[in-house]
Amino acid sequence: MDDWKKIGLMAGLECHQQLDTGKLFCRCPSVLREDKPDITFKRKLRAVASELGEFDRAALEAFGKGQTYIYQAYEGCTCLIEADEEPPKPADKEALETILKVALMSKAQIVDEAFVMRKAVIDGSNTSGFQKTMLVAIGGELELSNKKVGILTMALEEDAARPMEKSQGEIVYRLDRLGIPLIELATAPDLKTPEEVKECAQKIGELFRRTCRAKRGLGSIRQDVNISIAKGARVEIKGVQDLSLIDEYVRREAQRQLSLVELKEEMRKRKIGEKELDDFEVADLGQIFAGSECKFLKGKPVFGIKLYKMQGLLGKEIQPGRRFGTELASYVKAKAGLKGIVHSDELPAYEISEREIEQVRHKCDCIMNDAFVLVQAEREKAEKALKVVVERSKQALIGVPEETRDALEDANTEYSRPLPGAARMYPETDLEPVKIEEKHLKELKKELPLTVSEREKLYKEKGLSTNLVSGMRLSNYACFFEHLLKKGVSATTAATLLLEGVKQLSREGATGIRNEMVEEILLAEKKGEITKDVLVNALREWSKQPEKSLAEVLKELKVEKVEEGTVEKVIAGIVEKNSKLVKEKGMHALGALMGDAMKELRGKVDGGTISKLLKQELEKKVKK
Amino acid sequence: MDLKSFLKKHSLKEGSLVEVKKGTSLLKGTIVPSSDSGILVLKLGSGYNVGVKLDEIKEVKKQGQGKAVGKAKPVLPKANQSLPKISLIHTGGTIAARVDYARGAVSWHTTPEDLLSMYPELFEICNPKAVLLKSMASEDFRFKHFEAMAKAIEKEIKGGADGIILSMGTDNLAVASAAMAFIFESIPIPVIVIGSQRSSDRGSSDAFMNLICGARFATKTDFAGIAICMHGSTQDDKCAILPACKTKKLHASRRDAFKPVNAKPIAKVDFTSGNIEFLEKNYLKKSERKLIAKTKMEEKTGFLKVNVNMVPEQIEAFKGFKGLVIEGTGLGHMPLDTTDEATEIHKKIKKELQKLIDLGCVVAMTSTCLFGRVQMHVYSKQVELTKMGVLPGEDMLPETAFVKLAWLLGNYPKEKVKELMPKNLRGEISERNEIGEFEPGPENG
Repeated sequence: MDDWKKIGLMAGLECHQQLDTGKLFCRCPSVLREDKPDITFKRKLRAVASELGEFDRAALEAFGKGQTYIYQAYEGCTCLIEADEEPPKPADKEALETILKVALMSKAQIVDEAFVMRKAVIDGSNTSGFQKTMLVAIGGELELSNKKVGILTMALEEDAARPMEKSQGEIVYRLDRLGIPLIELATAPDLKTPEEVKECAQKIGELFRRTCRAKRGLGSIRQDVNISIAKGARVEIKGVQDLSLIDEYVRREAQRQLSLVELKEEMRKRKIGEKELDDFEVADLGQIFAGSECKFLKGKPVFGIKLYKMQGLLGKEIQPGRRFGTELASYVKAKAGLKGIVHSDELPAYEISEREIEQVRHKCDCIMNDAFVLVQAEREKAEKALKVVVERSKQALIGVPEETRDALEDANTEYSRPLPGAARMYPETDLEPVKIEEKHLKELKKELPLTVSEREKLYKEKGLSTNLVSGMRLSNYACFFEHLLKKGVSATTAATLLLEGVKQLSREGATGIRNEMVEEILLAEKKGEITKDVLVNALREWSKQPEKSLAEVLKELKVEKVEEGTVEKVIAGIVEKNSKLVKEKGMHALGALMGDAMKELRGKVDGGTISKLLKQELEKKVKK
Repeated sequence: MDLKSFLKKHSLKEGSLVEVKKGTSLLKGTIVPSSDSGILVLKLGSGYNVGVKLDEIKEVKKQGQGKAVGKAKPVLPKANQSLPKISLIHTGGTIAARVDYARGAVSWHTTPEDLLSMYPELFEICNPKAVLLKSMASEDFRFKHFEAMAKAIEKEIKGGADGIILSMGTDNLAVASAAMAFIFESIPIPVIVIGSQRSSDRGSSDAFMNLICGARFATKTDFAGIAICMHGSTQDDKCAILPACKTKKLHASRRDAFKPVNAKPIAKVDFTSGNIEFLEKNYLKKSERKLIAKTKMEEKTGFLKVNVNMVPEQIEAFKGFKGLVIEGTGLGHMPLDTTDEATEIHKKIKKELQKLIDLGCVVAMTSTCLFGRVQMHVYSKQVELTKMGVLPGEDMLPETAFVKLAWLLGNYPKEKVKELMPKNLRGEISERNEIGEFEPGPENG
């Protein structure tokens, strides 16, 4: 199993990174909402022919399901464009510049004219029935520890709506996510081991994060993995969110493909052919289960079929905890909308009795090592589902079917839809192509983010602790931090404020913090107008009333700049007031007086200066 | 070098499969039309289109012929002869939009057969026939096109159609519907006007639902006359059947752009269940209606919207016109009073208007408020307008008043026109307005 070369493992990655900019084709902010939606509405979608006159396979299958889509919208972060009620606006400039930078950083070829394309998606996740996407660059490379990996394409596209709930015939989507810009980066199938896949995914994540425009948090980066083994077929695993499991997905998919190849060989050995599998009749099994102990079959319509000589094969494990029977069930789920199947290799179970099993075998004409599959549904649906079972069993004769699979949380996968064909794209007619000028690229080249090692070196030079260096180098604040460094603020103070102070404030629920505020506060600290210990406080208050000036906020906080000589006067006063104590304790009175001094001078002068001045004043007194 | 000579030089053409070297990368794709003569546009195997500057191309190799850029041949389901015969008269518009590579925009290439093949469900409701009348945008409509539509409708009725679906662009859909309503003084079958706000090349198009609901309404009810069938709300649940003379496109892009004004929908058609609910009991019915069509319309009919800072030249421009509809402010006002030096010019406006009327132009007043009614006796100014000979447009939509006046002038002598203009002929004027009619929000209709 570990001899990846021998089994001919080939994998490529397709990474989707959400960008922390405005939405791509409308001017809504890119924020996700957890509160109650303001508006909901229902829609349907239809499969339509692409400009080559072909219907997309995946689109047609989704249409066959006859779904209703319910969309949840919000005031403030969704508009008529997400609702597919208004034509799109030109691509967000910041998002476009971010992908151009990523392309330049990875030495990709940028196209001269990028066309916004409509990619047919008919699962309802886009209200329009298509996702808008534009190919911006091709080629380029990523450097792994042991090799270079080619980049095939880099596209800028809109994220889809968030699925919230699925039920029979209905899917609820939330529109907040629809339109958030995504960079889609696809690598060549150059990855030959699960470990390489993982390293490559990490490298891509790093590339995105260096731009300081990559969104963070669960779901902000999603990976699709294309995997095949020599005797298998190309399978696309969609939506791997947990990077730490990505190598395991590869291992398990390789294992699945190997198992399916074994299954094929076993079926051949048993002389199972398409003709034999097709020779079945749907049996009405309702009567057998009329008084059954099995709760989900009792008194309900149940139908079943024989699967020729498949006994033992349905129970064959193809991924840890998943059998070929499970595979059939996920096909039935996706294509016929049923919850699943019951097959003979998993019985007895579910309180289905031996007697009932015998009766089913008899009714389905099972002999010898024939297997059976039954489903609980009305006849029409059941027949559709059982036909799906036969079709998938016939595919097993060929081996591994090409398909798209959904990533499950345990690193297994299940069937979701056929691989989409190339026919699913046509130009977005509501938008002009985007001309990418050499001049613009030259300007962007000057602004390219530093590499991680360049950052580490610079930050160390500026005196950041190892902790702050590792917190800052791939933070979205890195670019802003470097801008602040150029302004001459204290590196440690700035990094601490950004990485700890701002984080603390956002946990408290502060929303009005802008970079300009942080910059002004840090500059005030640099000029000595305020001290380090009140920076967070000042930012908190300012974010609550952003219409005010910093000076006004500081005045309210009573931390405005003190006049020259005031500090000395205050300290002299404190020493004077406590002259008795000073006489008794001498220099040991410092501790007690420090408390009083801090109370009066906090925020105006830093603790070190107070301590120094107090010490001098005391020395004067004691010497006297 | 421009694209044309580039293609010639390398003996390539649209549809050729090529491999192009740009920088260090190879791009393989099919040549598709480009709207920029300095850029070669390729459709890559992945489906993406990309543009490459001609002077950036280092090498080009022909790889053969790619898939032709074209459309699928329509495949029509078998018609059921026992179902009602519905003629789909098609004039163009978004409902028939498809991609135009050469222009890089939406255009109207679809034939009625294409439309029919896209909606096989139609064959379960009726026995459809497609007629291609025009392929044009409705903003380009002229009276000649209304006449052509009316003639096509007449022809279909004489050919035995049980109902007609008239599809067109949405910009002037309501105006054309009103025109049809006036032209057909009497009509024995339903003519349902449909359009779409999202083009039919996309999965979310409203065309399908509007068409299916329109076909259901035309085949399952006893309604006869002209009506519009469009989305009732932003949802794909119900279509509204709207009165031809009292409907306005009130939104530039939404599916539910069409709203009844000073009226309510005639009916609602449930897309999923097919149920039809009549909201208006007093509608025209099929029984014993004859076919009477008067297709003439007066070319010299004008339309003037009142604005702040009007000048007399705006009225003068209609010199020689037979009719003019004014879209006034509020209850039907226009700047005629002189209260200070700046408003001296209003005297001239008044004079020009009087001159126009004296020269024989029939002038009618409507309101830019759309909702509500013109009142010609409330303020002294309106009394003055009445005295001058301006006719009240009552609660008519300005565009409806416009086609009505053109139609009256085309078919009746002037005195009769003046008599009929303020009278209700086709439901364009209501005697009373219900309280609930004024809800132009998404839920009305």
